[in-house]
Amino acid sequence: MTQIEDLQGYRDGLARGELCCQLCDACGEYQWPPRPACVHCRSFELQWVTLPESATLFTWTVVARTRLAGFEEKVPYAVGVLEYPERKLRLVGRLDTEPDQLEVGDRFSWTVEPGVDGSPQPVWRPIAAEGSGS
Amino acid sequence: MGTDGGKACIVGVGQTELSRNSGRSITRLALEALLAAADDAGIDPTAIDGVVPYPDSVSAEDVIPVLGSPDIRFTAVAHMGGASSLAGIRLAALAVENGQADYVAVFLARNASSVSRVDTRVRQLAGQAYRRELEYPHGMNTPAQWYALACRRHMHEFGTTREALGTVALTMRANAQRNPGAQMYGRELTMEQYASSQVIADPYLKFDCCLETDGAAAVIVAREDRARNASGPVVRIEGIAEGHPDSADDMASRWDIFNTGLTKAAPRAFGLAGMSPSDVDIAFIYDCFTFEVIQQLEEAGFCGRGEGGPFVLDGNIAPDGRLPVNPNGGLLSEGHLTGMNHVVEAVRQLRRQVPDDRQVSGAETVAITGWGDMGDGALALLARA
Repeated sequence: MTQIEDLQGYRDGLARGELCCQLCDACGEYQWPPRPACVHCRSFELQWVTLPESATLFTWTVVARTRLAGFEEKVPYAVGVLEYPERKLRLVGRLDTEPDQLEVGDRFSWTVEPGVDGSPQPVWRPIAAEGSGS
Repeated sequence: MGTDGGKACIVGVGQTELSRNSGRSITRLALEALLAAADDAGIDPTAIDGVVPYPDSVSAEDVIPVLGSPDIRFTAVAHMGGASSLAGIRLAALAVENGQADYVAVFLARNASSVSRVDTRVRQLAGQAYRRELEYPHGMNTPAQWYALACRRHMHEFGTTREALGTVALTMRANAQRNPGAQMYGRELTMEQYASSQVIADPYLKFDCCLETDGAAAVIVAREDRARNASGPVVRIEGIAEGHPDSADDMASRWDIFNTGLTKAAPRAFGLAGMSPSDVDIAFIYDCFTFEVIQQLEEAGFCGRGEGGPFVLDGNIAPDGRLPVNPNGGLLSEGHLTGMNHVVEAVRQLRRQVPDDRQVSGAETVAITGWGDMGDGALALLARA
């Protein structure tokens, strides 16, 4: 399987405060999740690039019960799949928002903050819709 | 498939009781199921010369000494999460049809209720680096949460309703009332109870989720010419296939989230069997969660994609419907032996070895789906010879 070492560039990015995906130098395609080689052309020449700040909510769940360390006290909380259609990428993200007011297509943006174990992690917050007056 | 001795068949089945606390080791449970399957096949356990265990649990070598074969010729393990049960039976079928073994035992044993619950078991699946680095830090670590993502998207795209999910849960629970061995026997469920049950990972409520079960099940696969001592009519494996989704180790990034392993496996299995979905009399659907029944009905070809909700709401999956599903009560209400209990029930239905009130009349052909991991899939088509 893909190993922790293959995700080192992702971890390095978070340490700098950036959420990164892979970009293939050989074919120019973006890649998520990170892998040792490009799934489009099999090149090993991959670089890490910062993702745009905003993405679209594709789907989500509201976790109401968990035994996962650090999250027991946070329920209910929302975890979503964020989409970058122009890069054909989707990734899982913690949604820091009211879990009962979500809609597919909502816009979110990421920041990097300390996670439950203190390590830098991306957190997604809603971008107020234009003209909402809030 | 099949040469001199004909197609691979399931010649013996065995299963322990299903419980919340077995009170004994998983190796002991495995042996009880294996010996029961050998007895059902009418063979001495020493005749078993192939063993296919479920991954990351009791191994082949854990059971070989007691089975007593002087020369085990074939072992293999499929790594497909819950689809490993059917994928293992396929490996066994390939082995016997190619003369690599005479009797291959495929088994699963677990104390999944009393010892090893789902959030610990899934730490053995593929793609662990992704789970640990890209999901756990965001609060996500169970299949209920993964598949809730697909369920929500299906609701958004196709209008699938809470009532459709509830209909699956209630149908399985009603079926379990005709199965005294089911964990939910004697515990009926109403739509009100379903809809007001605890939220686990919205849209999944408690009664959208399968049971956690202690128990074991085993089947013995052999060619038709070795089936003559079995306790019932020969049950042929007419077609069996596995499939892996795109980005098999990561579901969230899969561009077509509904295109799973079953989507690819089903046409292969139907093609091998020379059958179509309309030939199936009973479907055993890997009902780890209610929505996965709807999704697999679609991807196996029993209805079109997006039509699964109306299909179940129209009563098609009830015992008197067009396609009875899981007459044993399924993983939702009989118990969860990773679908091996479905195989056992399928064989008994085809042999007419279940009580009259549970027997699907005239059942000649059954389909069984496997589902596991992040959407791995398998389909088996069994028929009375």
